[in-house]
Amino acid sequence: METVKNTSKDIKTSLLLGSLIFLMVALAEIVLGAFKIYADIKELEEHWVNAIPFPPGIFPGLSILIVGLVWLAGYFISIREQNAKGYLSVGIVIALGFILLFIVILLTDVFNAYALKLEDYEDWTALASLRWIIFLSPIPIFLAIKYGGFTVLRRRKEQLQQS
Amino acid sequence: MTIKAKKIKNISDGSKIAINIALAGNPNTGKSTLFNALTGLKQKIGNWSGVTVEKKEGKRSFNNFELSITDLPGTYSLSASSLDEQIARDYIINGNPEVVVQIVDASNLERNLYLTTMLRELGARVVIALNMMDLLKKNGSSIDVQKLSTELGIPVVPMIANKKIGIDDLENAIESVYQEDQKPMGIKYSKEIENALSKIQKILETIPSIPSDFNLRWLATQILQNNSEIPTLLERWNVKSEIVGELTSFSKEDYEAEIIDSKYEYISKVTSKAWKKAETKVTRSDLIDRVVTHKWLGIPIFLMIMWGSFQFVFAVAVPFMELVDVFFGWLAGLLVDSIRIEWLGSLLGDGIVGGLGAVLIFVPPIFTMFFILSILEDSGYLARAAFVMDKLMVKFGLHGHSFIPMLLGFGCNVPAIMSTRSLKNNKDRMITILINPFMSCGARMPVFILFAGLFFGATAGTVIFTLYILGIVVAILTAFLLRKTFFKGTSAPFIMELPPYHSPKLKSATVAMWDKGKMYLKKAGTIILIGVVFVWFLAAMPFGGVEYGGPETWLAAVGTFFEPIFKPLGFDWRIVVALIVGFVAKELIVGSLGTIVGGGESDEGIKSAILADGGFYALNSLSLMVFTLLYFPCAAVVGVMRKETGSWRWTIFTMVYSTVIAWLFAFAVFQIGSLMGFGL
Repeated sequence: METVKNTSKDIKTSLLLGSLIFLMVALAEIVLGAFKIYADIKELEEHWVNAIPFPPGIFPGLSILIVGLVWLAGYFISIREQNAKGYLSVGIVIALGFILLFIVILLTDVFNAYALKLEDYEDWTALASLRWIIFLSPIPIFLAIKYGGFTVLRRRKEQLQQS
Repeated sequence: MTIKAKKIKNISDGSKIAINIALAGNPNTGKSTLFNALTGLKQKIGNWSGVTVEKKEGKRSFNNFELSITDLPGTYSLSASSLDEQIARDYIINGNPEVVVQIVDASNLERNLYLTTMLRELGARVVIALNMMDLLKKNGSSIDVQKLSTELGIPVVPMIANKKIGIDDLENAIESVYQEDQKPMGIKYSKEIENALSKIQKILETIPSIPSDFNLRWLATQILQNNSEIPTLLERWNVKSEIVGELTSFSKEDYEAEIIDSKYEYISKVTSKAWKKAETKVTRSDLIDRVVTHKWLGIPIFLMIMWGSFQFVFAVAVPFMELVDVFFGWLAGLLVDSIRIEWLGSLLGDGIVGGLGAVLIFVPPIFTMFFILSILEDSGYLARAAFVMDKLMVKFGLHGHSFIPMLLGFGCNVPAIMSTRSLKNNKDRMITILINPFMSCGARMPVFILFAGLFFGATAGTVIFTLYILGIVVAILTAFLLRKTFFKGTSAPFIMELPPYHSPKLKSATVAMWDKGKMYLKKAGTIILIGVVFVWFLAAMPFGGVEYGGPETWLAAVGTFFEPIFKPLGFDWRIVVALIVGFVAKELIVGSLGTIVGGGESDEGIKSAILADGGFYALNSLSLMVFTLLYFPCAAVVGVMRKETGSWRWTIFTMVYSTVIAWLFAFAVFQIGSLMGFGL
């Protein structure tokens, strides 16, 4: 049960820092993703954007952007002395959801390439399926452990303390 | 009047005593979860007699009893202002359930007990399954279950249905209610109303045609409340018109409000003794809702969740599709090689196994999509999606409630159109029905997966997501046009309950996935099988001397005839034939292409054949996907649309309109793409 209370200074700082990092990375990925689409359409294999080891994409970039926006909105809510914990939690859940999604995609790609040996995966390397948000995963994981109050982690902690 | 129990017959042959149970309750109280927990997979799904609302029945055995459980539509009352309420009420009156189990959301006790008063007024023997006790506790509230039971005069069983807690106690309560008499409900109306009720009842008692077990007090209350259906009901019992006139003369406008007030007073009296409500606090659901229903963030969050869902579907399904593909490839090869009669080998290998294989290969993505939709629905998020979309929908003359049938349309347009019955405003309902076919159903997915996967590689998921969004946009714009032209007026106000968030349960999601997905399998075994054999026949005729699926066949003749209409969209006669066959069922498009293009025995075969063909490329594939998304709904949708709108005129309008829109969009895609240099 959550009660209405002002957001702590720690959470405010986390919201601000987390949102800034996510927004910057998101904008970079979206812009580079646009270049990547252009290079793909024009079949410019030598284009500089293809040299990036972890291919950017507009939609994966948008998944980072939405987390950044949720946290930024939370920050603005918190400076109005309102409870922004929901924003923090939802941002964490969305971020972890997308991280999980891209890990699942990575694993199925590995399976398709090495177990099923599909033709489409002949030139595939695992780097091609490593999405940018996966590199940002320490942030939501850290925030989840510190503030998220995610039931499993919290219950485990409480159980440990009780025992 | 005491509600008499059924006496147990002396059973000596070891057979079980059958008890008919009706499962009633408000929407979002966990009724389906309880139904699934009670019946497991022993379920039968059909329709309520005379209407196309889904009826679920199931069985459960315990001790000497066999329960036949009927899941009634979720309703807030039994006033029959919507079809769902009418069905629930009629079943309780005419279906003669021996026990009604009403599932009640413990955290919303007052609102749920209103239905209890109506059920008891109808004379039903009721057991209350007090669900979501865990949430109640979490909210800091508590209910004295024993006191509640005493005050209501019926058994109350605390439960947590999604954890199957309380099922045994519920069985015991059903057994005791079945065997014991139940005291009447203790609502006393004002003296004036009670006098009027007693006078009406006396008149009713003199009418011999009214069935002896009919609850006359309930009937009298309905007469007093001026229920518009009562005169018809009395006429059905051949009650003379002067008596009908005498009876209806008792009704007054004020009585209805007074009766409702009395019920709530009674509820309030009961709950004040048994319910200890926590101070209003902000719950976790409230905190989450502030974000996911935020006026700026709500829609982007919804779009990203949908995009993520499609990515997941596409990623998870591919390995399974490969396995199905390998199996059908092996089977088709075996048939073609081992059957010496050439035409029979071709029929079984190329036609049936090839065609079916081309359809069944899409079972994994379709089941995965249903699984994701069930998870989203179970968690409570889909209700938020409707709420979030309300603001946008209002601008186009609709409201958020219309968005739920639209979302259901992602699965199948048939149940989605049926679900519009919950819309009370007829104009809203008509618009929602007419735009529903633009929502991309699961049957269109095979076309998207095949061509997006083939020509758009890593961005296939995004292409499919964009198509779904295009469907929503066209649907909303069509709604706007319809509202401005044929269905002028304002939409009904949007009132919707947002259930608290739940952790979705794997079992519920799996059962829901199977329920929805098996329709696809059923179709594959019936209409699609006939369709692929028909296509094979046309592709092989005339026998002797013509290449199978070649330009000399009857199939080519049909396709060539219509080809000029579709040439500006980049389609040749083979695509035209597949689209025509898709009028029967959209799944047939890929099945037919498999048969026509060749390599139909496996997905890889179709892919290789399409890539090698030269007649298919990225731009005309995109045009084909857009056309498939928007054109003419399938035969089943046409049937249900005719039934639900009650009009051939609107059904034909939708068929023509959607096909014209599809042609225009596909034309724009192909021609603009060609001008930009993306053509061949």
